[in-house]
Amino acid sequence: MSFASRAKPEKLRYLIRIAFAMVIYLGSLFAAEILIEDQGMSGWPAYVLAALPGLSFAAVFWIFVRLIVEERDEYFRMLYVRQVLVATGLALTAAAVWGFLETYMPVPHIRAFWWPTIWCFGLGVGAVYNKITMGTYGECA
Amino acid sequence: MNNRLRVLRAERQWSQQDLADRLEVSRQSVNAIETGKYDPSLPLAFKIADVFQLAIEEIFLRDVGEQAAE
Repeated sequence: MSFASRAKPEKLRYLIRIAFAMVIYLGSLFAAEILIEDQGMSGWPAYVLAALPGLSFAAVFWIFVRLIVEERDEYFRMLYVRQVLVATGLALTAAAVWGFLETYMPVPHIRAFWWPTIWCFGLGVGAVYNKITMGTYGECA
Repeated sequence: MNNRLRVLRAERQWSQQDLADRLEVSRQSVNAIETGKYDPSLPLAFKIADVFQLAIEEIFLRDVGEQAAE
């Protein structure tokens, strides 16, 4: 059995965790839409429910950290770290640029939850960057 | 850092996957090391040396610039 096939458990755990986080994200988003938007839930339970979809992003960051920690192949670990750096650079730069544009120019407001969304998109960009510069996307592209 | 991995592997008629299996890393790792895109950690370098039954300095060679600086 090759290392590639034995490496599957890490990737499988990553995919299961991502799927679980997405279920929490979509479930809390759906619940917030119904209970807060439609049924007018208020008070501290509404605040907790409104924060839940955002908190599920914490799971995504934790999941990627676990992938880096659990990956046994040091080369792939480096590729994942490069992906995270590209994603973080893109998301924070986009947030900073748009923040100054909003301050000084008549541009539309962008809700803050788009910045971590851009970070997730940035992981894909990081994988492409890895492919161009290192010859491989990594296993979780 | 330069290395003789491709030559040593060819001498033994091992594919990149064969070597990767012996080192318990991915084939992409072996390829990245062979092409000089990635320098292995010291533990992996020792493992490579063990697989080829050679000393590390018989596999990994200093860059010309590094030697000239000394």
